Amino acid sequence: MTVILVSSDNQDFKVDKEVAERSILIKNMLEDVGESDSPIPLPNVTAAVLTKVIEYCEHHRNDPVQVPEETDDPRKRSNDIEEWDMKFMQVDHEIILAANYLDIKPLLDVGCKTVANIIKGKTPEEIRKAFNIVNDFTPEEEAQIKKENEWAEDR
Amino acid sequence: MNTHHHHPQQQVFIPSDELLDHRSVPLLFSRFLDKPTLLACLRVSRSWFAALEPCLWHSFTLLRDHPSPTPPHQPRQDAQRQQNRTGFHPRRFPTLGSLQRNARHIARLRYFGELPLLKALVPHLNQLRYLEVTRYTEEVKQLLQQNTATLHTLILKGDALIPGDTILIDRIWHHLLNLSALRHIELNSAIVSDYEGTKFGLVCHKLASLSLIDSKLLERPKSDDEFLRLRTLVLERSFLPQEDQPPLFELCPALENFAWRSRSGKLSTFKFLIFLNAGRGESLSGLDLSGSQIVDSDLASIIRLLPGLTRFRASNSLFGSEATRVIAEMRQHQIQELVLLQCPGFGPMEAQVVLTTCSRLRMFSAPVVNAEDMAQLRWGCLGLEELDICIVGTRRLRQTTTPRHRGIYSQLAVLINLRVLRLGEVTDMEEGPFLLDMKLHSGLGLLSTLGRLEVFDCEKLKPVMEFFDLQWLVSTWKSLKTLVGSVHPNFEQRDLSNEFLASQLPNLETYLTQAERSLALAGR
Repeated sequence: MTVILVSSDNQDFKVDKEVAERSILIKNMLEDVGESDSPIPLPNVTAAVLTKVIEYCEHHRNDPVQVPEETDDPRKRSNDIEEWDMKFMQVDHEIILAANYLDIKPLLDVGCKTVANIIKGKTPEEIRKAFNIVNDFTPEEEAQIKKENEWAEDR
Repeated sequence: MNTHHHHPQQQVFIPSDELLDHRSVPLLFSRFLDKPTLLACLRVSRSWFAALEPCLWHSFTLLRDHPSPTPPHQPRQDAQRQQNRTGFHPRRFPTLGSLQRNARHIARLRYFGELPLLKALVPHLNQLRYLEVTRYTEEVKQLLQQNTATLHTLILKGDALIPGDTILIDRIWHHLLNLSALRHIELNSAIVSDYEGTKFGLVCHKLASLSLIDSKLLERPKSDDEFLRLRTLVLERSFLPQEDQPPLFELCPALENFAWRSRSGKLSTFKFLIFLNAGRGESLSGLDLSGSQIVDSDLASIIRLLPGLTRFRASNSLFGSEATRVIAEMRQHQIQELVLLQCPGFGPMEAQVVLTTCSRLRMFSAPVVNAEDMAQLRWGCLGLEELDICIVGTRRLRQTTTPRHRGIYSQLAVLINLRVLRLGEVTDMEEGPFLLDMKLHSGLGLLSTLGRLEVFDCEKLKPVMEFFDLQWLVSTWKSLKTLVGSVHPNFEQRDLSNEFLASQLPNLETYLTQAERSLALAGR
């Protein structure tokens, strides 16, 4: 069975239901709507991003469904990305946002781990350069933040 | 995958939830950042700071050596005197303003000692999920009332650095009733009074894990139903009603981990076996009977009745040859952890049986292994990650090869997955000093295969390592994080050795003894 996904710029994507349901958001929508041919609009995902998301979901269509973790440990590993995922992933915050919106946790994790690996060990200026971010702190403000949070270096 | 332009009239209206935009992306990947990177990210831009500052405060620990930060009105001189007296370094402690501003983000709080600071923070701590404290004070009671919908873990235990620093927790069960999210409790010196059985039962119904240490249960939990959610039950040095044998076990049909660690009480093995024989042990994968007085044959029967057993601890017990035989014949392809320290009945022969038959063993702790057996061992458990053994009979080894202890070192060298190695030698004092001297010319170099080693504990070897031995150690074991033992050429050169080690492996922690390491860990 196939479903039709509609991107924010009105492009249709015909996708196997099994692939589409890698997105928990879409899975829940389909369950709520029941048997229907109606297309599913995704107003927050452009065609370019949706293309990438569908590519990911098709590659991982047979992966086991991830169970939510109960642990509170906020520090997760980022060094266990599959080789295919590494090649697939580009630094694009749109994919991360789309994965979060569509509730595709494995894709969200891959995207976030990729970004984390890029910025690990970098100084603030190096991180700004990597993501083309303008520094809107004054030097005094930046120094104040550094001083106020020095305690965390020991924890 | 087909694409074409779509007519808007055919769309199904889906209301959108509140959306994240690009400013929230840092929040999404923050959970994969280590602390130094997170601190750097705070200074990238205002939007990154706003998104990430709460992450810094998600988990927070207040230690006993942190005095109250200087209030704004306190004269600078007083603050300096306080600093000199306590060794308190202002840069290591957040300001009071920063604490109060960010306390609302704290989800995990560990608070040790009698710090008056907690009183100032209590009104802001409304999102706690994890609370670990050493005293059950009025502030803690207030926190329980404020976090009824969020708190899922409560640990109340005495301060490990101050023996006897425990206050009996009375009537806590009434306050725990309202914590709807509560799933894990660890209590030290708790009391279940003789009228609290019903409340205790109602609390147990919610829990996934319950640990009671040095506690008194004067009444059993009263419940018509079983505790279906309870997966882990730990009872250590706790007093229970005489008729409650085995303690609480029969009320927990889905138990996966059970620990009865007691130096005083004796588990009624007969009743325990009756329950296991009725199928109660089918879900049990972890069992800890350390310190119990269960005889070897009963331990064997217990293991026989646990089809899912993968982790077994029975240190300071009568575990011996019969229980070993059951492990080797019935559980050899499933047992992953076996900890049997200070078991006089578990000798070198039993250790050899385990090491040659248990194919999935990852953690093994045993009193002694015979040197000659060790030298000819055919490992059945090459996936070992943690090994804690003492070797006996080194002097009886035939010294026909060089390096002199090639047999033992080359056997250890095949365990390439080792992350933790605790090695000791047992020798008669009349025979002379230890022979496993951890020197390159004795075979230390053969252990170059242990590239994943993180903890090396040679306290019981008392090695005398020279400079080139230490140099080899730090250049080969690059993953090493902890070194326990006196590895210095002599005591006078200890500081120099430590300086050298720190210069080569900055994250390496060194301790003379395991006791010193335990104290240091308790203080963190």
